[in-house]
Amino acid sequence: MHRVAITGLGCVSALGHDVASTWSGLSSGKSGIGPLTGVEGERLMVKVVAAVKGFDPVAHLDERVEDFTDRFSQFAIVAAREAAKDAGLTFRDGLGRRTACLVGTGMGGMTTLDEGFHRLYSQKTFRAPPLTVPKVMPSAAASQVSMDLGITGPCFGLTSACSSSNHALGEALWMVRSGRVDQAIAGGTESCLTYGCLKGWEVLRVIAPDTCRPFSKDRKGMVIGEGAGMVVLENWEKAKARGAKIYGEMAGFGFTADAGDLVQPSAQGAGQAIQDCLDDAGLKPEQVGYINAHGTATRMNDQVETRAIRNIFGAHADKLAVSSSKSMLGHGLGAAGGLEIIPTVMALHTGILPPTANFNVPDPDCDLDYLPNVGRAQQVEAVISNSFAFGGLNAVIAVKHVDS
Amino acid sequence: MNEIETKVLDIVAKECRLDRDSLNLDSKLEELNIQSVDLMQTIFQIEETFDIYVPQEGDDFQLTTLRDVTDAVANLVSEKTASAS
Repeated sequence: MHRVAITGLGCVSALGHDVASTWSGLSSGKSGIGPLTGVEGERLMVKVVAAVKGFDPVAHLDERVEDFTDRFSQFAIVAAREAAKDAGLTFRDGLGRRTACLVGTGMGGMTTLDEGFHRLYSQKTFRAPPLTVPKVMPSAAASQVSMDLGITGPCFGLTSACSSSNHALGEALWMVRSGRVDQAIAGGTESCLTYGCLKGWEVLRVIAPDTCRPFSKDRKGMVIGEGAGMVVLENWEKAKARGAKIYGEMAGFGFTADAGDLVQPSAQGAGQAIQDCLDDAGLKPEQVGYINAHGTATRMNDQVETRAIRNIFGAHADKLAVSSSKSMLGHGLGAAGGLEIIPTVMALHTGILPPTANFNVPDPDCDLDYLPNVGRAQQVEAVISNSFAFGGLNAVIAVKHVDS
Repeated sequence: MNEIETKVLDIVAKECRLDRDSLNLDSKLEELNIQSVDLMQTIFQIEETFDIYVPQEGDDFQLTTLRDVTDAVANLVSEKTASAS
């Protein structure tokens, strides 16, 4: 078994097209949520989203690549390139064979699907755009990243709705830990701010009309986001040997299924995933100083997540800091864990715990320290990042400080 | 029961797989033990049937019995008629 180092980070988010701009926003409590633009359709009740702004694929990608990629793959390519560059790794000269590429997504190429089907159903054309299938397939982002970087080892897409990214990160951790590969690039991506998808969310009645206020008593629900977040994981000894900058140790992964309700979260299932993650990381609850929460800002999630944290951490729950980056990045769905591993790792690396933005009123049912609106300088030993999905799929990641 | 009440109870019975004859306006929602997914289907069918938009969870609705539901639907229908005229 090998220790696993995090040596590269990359992302595209509502706060910017790289880690520096995203972390600068997150650490200062700046929200990337804004009015929905560019999506037209009748009686759409979704008014605010956390969209990636001003993303010009041609500025990043070859025009041919732009032709055969959906927006969700484009985000993944840009985030993966940044992570690889940050790690100082290139894969084409032999390293690629010993590298895994795992990319989570909840939906796949929804922009392509929505536009293509609209042409067929409404505009009565009889031809789908020629690259519909290879652009839409949920594994497209993983394939595109592998092609872009020259990664020829284990490569696939993973899907578990809003836990997809954490499943990808966890599986990548285990691959590097076991020695099956020496490096992995892993995370997740999502882009589904289309009329059809937003209508699907609208009818679930979990979308906030104003903004995302996790754990605040006046919260009204979630805000849909988009983007991608990727990390480079590396065999610890190899990273040390080449003098790589190490952000932290990817230390543990716990995942469970509620086997219960389709849409209602369970404190038992979520708590078990947290416990399994701590066990996998060899962490005692008291070692965890910060939790990057799932924190969707639905009434139900925030209560249930709070209860799960209390159940697992006991008295230590009152000494923990907990915050939800969804207050600023929106809910990245399949990309959520990938986007949120950035603040999770940066909290540990920089000693700045990012806040929960848009927090107005404490809720008696949510009684932890949520870092309301202002972050805090505090060096912690270990952190965890929670993702809990529709369908009862829970996935939790633990990261330890480099010196712990 | 008026037309709205009858239709709403028909929808609740069908979507929640409940015995229609066991439902009346005084039936308590909590006792019907409606599952979250069935509730979503029910709201969807009510919206489709009456061409209304049922607002999201909030303080506006305190629903205890099926009568509260049918009253709320009747209000939404009359609001719609008023705004259309």
